[in-house]
Amino acid sequence: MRKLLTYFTFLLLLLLTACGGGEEPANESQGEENNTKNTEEVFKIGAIPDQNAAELSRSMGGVAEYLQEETGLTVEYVPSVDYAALVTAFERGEIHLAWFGGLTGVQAMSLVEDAEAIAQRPRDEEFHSVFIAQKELGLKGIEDIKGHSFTFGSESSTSGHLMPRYFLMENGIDAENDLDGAPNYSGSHDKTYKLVEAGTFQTGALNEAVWETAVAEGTVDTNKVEVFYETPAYYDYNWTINAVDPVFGEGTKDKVKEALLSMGEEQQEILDLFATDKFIETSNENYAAIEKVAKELGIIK
Amino acid sequence: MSAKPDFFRYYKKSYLTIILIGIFVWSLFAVQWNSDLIHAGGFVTIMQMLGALFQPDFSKEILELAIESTWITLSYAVAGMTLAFIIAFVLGVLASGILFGESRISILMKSFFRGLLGFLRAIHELVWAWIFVASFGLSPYAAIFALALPYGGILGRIFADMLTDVPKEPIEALNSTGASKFQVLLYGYLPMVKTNILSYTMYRFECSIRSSAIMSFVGLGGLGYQIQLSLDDLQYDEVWTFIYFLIAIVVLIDLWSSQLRNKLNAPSKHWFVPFSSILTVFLVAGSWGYVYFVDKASFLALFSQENLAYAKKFFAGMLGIGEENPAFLDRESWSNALLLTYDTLRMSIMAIGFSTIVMFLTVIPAARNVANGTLTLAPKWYSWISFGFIRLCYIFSRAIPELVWAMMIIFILKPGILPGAIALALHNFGILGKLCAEVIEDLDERPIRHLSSSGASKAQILMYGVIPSVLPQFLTYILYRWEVIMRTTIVVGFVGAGGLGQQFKLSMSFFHYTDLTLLLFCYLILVWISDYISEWARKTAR
Amino acid sequence: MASENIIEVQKLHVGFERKIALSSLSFSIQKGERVALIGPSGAGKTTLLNTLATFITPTEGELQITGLNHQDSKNRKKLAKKIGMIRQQFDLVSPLPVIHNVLAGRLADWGFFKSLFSLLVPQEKTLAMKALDRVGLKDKLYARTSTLSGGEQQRVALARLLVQKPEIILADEPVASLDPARAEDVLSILAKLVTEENQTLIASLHSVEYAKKYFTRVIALRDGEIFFDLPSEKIEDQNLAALYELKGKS
Repeated sequence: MRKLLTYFTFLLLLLLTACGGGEEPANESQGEENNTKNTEEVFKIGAIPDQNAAELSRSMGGVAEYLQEETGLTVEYVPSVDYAALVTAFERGEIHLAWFGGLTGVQAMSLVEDAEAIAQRPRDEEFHSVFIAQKELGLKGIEDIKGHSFTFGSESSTSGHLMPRYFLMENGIDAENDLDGAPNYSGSHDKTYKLVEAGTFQTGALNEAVWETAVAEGTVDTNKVEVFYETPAYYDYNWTINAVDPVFGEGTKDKVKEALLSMGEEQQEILDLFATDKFIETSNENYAAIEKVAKELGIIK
Repeated sequence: MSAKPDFFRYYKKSYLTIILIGIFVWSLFAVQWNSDLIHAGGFVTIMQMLGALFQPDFSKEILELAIESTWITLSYAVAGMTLAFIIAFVLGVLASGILFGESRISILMKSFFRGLLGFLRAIHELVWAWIFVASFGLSPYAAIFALALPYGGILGRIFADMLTDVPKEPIEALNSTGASKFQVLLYGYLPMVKTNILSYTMYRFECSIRSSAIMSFVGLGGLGYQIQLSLDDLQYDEVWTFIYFLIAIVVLIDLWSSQLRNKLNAPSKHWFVPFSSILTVFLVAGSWGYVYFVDKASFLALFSQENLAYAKKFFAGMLGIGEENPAFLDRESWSNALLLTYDTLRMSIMAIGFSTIVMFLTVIPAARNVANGTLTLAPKWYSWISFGFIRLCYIFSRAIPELVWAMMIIFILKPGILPGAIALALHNFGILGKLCAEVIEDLDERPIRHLSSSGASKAQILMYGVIPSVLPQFLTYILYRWEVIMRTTIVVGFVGAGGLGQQFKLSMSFFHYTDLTLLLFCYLILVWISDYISEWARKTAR
Repeated sequence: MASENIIEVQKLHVGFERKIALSSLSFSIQKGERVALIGPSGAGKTTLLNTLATFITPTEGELQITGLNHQDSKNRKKLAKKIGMIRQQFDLVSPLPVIHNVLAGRLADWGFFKSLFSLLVPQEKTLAMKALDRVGLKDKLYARTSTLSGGEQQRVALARLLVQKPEIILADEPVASLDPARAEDVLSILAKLVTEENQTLIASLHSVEYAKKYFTRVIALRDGEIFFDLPSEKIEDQNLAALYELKGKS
């Protein structure tokens, strides 16, 4: 028994010394000294977990590999389980390049001064959400949703929550009171259509691109689920880059942007996972409308 | 002693029981009971989940992933518990007051440290985790500290009590030799409480595994992370694989800890004790080594300028500095928050009510002395089967954290406070059942046998023999679990199971920091009230 | 007391695994007798009582209890009408008030709902009060049983027997944990009540003195066999000396 206590104390001492001794290499690996250009620093990319995690790690892993080849940086994909966690990580500089939705992008841009939306898919300039329902209900338009159970995607999602909520409001439907029970937040677009297909919820709203991919790949049974409303267009997904030049050296941002924009046929496999054939240029100003809607809904103060 | 006061003393307890039942019934009115509670496809989902329960995914990839995640979960728990032990030891000694004299300042110091321990304990580990992630980032230390603080609080409080309850004679003898306060601590107090302190730490270690598993919900790795990812993909077969691993590790640790506790209290030395010390050393070294070298998490880097700036920004945000209309000065936000507080209170009462009912229905056959027939003198062939089955359910129930239960329940029930209450109940009936079955096992068998031999039926034995004997102890456990449930309500809300927690999660996603302050404040008030009420009720029941 | 035998035991043999607890006991007990079982520890007194109570099935031999056939002994309710047990005071439910412990003697006759209701509003209260009065505890009706002294608790157990009204009372060391004054008190009440109700009493005892004072007949057991079986007034000191003699010394 005495031995146990002694071991404990010994071990603690050992640990304390270990921590003390580890100061230097730790600093190096963390790269706290901002001015020195550190080639060992890993360029970390992230994505909002808006769909199937396995799929995301395929597409993002592909991007990481591609960027590593193109830019010579060590690129790594860091999965995230939560939209807000990704925004926080981005704010803290732990994520250098992120695939954000409109709302998370706006949140990130307001938290990090130098964050910049650099690229997006052509379809993101004119993005839509779709409202889906179980086919047997036979819903015809947005008004028919009243009295049915309903799920959004993640509460931080633009196409899964913000814009669907906005268009519900525009059509005079109070999401909190006019549906069957309070609306649910499923967490991701994939989960939304799966939950509707499984019958857990009667209706749901999700990202148009995810829906089209699901239909094309047959992961959703269109005999059971159908689209009954499509929202007007808005700006959505984009690649937002952090203030990377001080960490990785001048010109890193442009290098990354160039690499993303020059993805083409050779990278079609990766692009397919994003349901696009190329990335185009975008800018922070494109998201002013999203910000306005978020403010109107009280999501951004 | 005349008959009258006796009469009232007896009925005071009955009144308390009736009042508690009444409160539970009242809490049920928070839900509109009709078929609308379940999702249109809720039953289908249940069937899918149950189907996967018997066909978990044991493919090589998943198994490798599960083993790795189990190790992460274990190592965070071990690292967290080492820190918790140190915190508890230091604060526990200070809070016990044995180093202080009798002066007024000493008493003040003592209550200050007791209060500090209470505060550490009051906030759920997941809320701590979230605070640490905000200030340290997604470092393993966020999880480790988040475990260390509340567990330090829980352990420290018990350590302080143990030190205060030490028999006074040896201490006075040491004092009379002129030993200093510190020497008395080393030579008097510590040798006397050592065994108890170690046993209790081991006992809590099992709980810390479960807490460590749910750390993933603020974005830290481990089993909970994998469970969440698989649930997101609706891969129930994978979900169960990870849950089976979680159950396995919890059961293993539980076995180890209960064995060690037995052996520690045994008079003679046993090989298991030195074996456990070596295992502990390996675990502690392995865990910290993993965190330090593999996760490459530097301890000192946490205290960098940058992190300080983030922490400052975070707390400024929480305090609403620079915000025009902080939520805690806003009338509407207050009335909203209070409404949610009220809902959360009802959710906790409903949860403890459900778990109590299920416990009562199952606890009798779950007691070993009922199963083997010693208690009732009427062994039945099915006794051991029902015993095994119920005990298995208990293990299942308590090994799965509330949060994981909640994540599955919201697939079946519509959002609101009912899914939260059920998730909490699902986790707690196993704990309550186990504790209460042990009470029955420790029951004096003689009165029960007498009732049985004098012709009482099973129900009558229950009413006249078992229930009156175990009820006071049951009530203590029930009230104690209610306190724990109260603290956990906020966590099940995180995944959409209603109450303060759900709003907390939404405000977190929208970075509404002052709302968070307000919600945390309401939450602390609830925890404080429940502690107070439960202590009062336990005293009355005594 | 003509020859109305209530218990008949013939060549009774009880063994646990390989150990013999009782070997070929034969005796009969008449209605109204008060029999004391004495003998050194391990002689088989408790085993004999448990066998008489039908908790233990004999390996060989026969046990006849008048008015109780083999089928009846499986039915605990019928058995309870026939045989009542009293042990040390530890067989009371200590957190319950006294009245419920006394009324527990009626459980064999009560249904589920009556028993449940009685916990809230005690039923057949006068019966319980009368019984408590006879053992001198009428003012303790609602006291918590655990607050009573050992002697008082044993008197509560007697009151419970009064309510149960069995024909035969089996008492296993009923006064073992009481001091002499209280032990005498309890035994004298027990003997008095048994006589008044014309019940049959069989009790195991450590004290020969009490056996002679409160019982009509003494059966001495040693190593599972009957050592002597005498009316209490005929017991001589040499019988007792031989009974308690340590083995190695003979």
